[in-house]
Amino acid sequence: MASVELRNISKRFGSGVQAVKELSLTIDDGELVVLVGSSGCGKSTLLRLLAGLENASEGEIFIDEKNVNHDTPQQRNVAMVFQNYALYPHMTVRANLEFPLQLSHTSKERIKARVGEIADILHLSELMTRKPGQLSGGQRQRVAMGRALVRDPSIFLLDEPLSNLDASLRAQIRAEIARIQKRLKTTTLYVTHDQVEAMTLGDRVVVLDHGELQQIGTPQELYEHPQNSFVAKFIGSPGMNIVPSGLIDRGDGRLDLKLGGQQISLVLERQAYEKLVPYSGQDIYTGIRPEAFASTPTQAGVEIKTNVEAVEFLGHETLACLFLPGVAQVPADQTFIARLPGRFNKPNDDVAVFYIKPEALYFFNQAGSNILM
Amino acid sequence: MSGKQRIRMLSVYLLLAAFAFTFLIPVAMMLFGSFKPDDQVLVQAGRLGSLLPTEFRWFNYQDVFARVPFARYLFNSAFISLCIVAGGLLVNSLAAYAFARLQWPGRDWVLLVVVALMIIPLEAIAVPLFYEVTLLGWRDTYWVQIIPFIANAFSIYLFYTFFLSLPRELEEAARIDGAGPWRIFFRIVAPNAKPVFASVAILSFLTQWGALLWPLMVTHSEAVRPLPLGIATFYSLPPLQWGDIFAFGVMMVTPVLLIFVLFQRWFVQGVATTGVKG
Repeated sequence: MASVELRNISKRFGSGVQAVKELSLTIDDGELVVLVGSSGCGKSTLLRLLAGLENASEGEIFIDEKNVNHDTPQQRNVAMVFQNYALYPHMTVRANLEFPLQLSHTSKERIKARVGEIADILHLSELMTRKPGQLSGGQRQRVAMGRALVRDPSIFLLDEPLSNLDASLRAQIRAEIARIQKRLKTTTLYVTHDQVEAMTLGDRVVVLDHGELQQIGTPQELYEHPQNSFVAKFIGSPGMNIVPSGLIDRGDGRLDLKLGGQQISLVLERQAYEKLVPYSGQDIYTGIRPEAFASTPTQAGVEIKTNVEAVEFLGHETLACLFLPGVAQVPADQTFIARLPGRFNKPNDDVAVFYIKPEALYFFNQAGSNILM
Repeated sequence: MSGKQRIRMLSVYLLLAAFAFTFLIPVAMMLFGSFKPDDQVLVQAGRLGSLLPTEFRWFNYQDVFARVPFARYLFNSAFISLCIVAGGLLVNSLAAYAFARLQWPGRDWVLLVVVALMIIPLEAIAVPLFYEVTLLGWRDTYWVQIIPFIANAFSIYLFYTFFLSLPRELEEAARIDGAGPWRIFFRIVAPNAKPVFASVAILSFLTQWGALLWPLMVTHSEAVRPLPLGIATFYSLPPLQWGDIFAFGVMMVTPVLLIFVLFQRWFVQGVATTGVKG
């Protein structure tokens, strides 16, 4: 077990691509941190930098307060699970599990005991004589985890370990990873592009975009207090609706929100009002979580009139695709997704009124920063 | 299948069979001729009807062993070819791995030179090479027939294209598990590259087994001469006996055929894989 600190890490490739930009991050001992971002955001590169498979162009990496910039992967005592598992195809499951221990000159008795222990934890005992080609996706995944854990690494790195599995297996193994991590308390860095995995697994989640750190926080912090519109859109399923809008200061301690053709009066707390007032008369963006829409009046909820474009009934809930009336051509960035409990039928005239609590509204400036934070 | 299709299939097969027959006739003549008494071999060569011998007799084979040191030639050929194959597999695969995976200055330029070397035939450099080995005092030895042929640009290229196609993550996983470059090569890369090792082994074995020009230039004693040179001298050894020569030929190609049959599954797989990736 170990703590990890990245200080101003940058990585440029020969082709001039900057994969990671001055990123700093601290991971506590025993913590499970998830790195999330769309593909090409630098999350896998960051993992490889920590593993020692790539060298940082700038910055320092510390494991347990020791600078490991020039250490080999083995000296760093990290273990990694690859996206395609990278099991040795010519070796049996047993040989795959034994390989890392043989390289660290572990005694035969100790190897046998340790491999047995890991096989028990991961339910691999039945598969020991098979080769990777004879295993299913889920079994391969477990062997890959086993090979990483067998050495008792101080840091456990997982690079999109579930992306090659089907949906039901993914949920199952996700729970298994969480269980094993809790049991072994190994410091873990988990890379994924799937925000559901990030939210369900991570003690803390790190959101990356174009090699830059967008926000670090607990899943709840990211969901409730996104620092910028990227995080707001990325976290949540579906993500936050963000549409161009404007603010007008009425002068009586209230603000009007211009949303499409509508002008909605907002009653806000003093603090929020003061943060928003400087933006009156400017173009801003308003964010609304799909879950914030209510089809029946709520206390102090503001009314938004919308046209319903389509509804998708999912059984326990309905997703409604909405746009604001008065706009002839609806650009993609002005449609909303509302997530409504139970069944919601498309009205005959397509017009529906929804109610949103003012505190459920988010406001972002032109640069995308959350104005209320 | 309609009647028309059947006729078309049949004619295609007949055509192919005719081709196969044409190519196999010389081999059949060699094989059957090796069992015939000498006075029948040439007399019957022009007539297909008398291709098969009336009786199978081994005297031509006994003749070969009586007239030339065939066993010595066979040993020499086998020893030289096997040394070249074994050394070549090691040296060329390691070189190819360095080109495919390791980072070092000038790598791409050196690779370009290696690829360019593939088009230079031995005949073009035989004389300078002859001077060189003479300077080294290597003439008329086994080593002069082995060492110049261990490193081979074409083998390197075959290995290189195959290694490029191996998933990089395998090697990275091994690095994380604590393996260094040598161990990664021998424990992870080589076992997963069996098809290309088989292809290179067979290709270089075939080339060396039939080598004539270089041994002719650098050897003069029976003790180190290989089979092709043996058969060449056998031709000019009076009295000229075709049955004996055929018997020599049969014994010369049999080991190669055996090796090919044994390893052909790997060989075809290797050529197919390297071909696609290259």
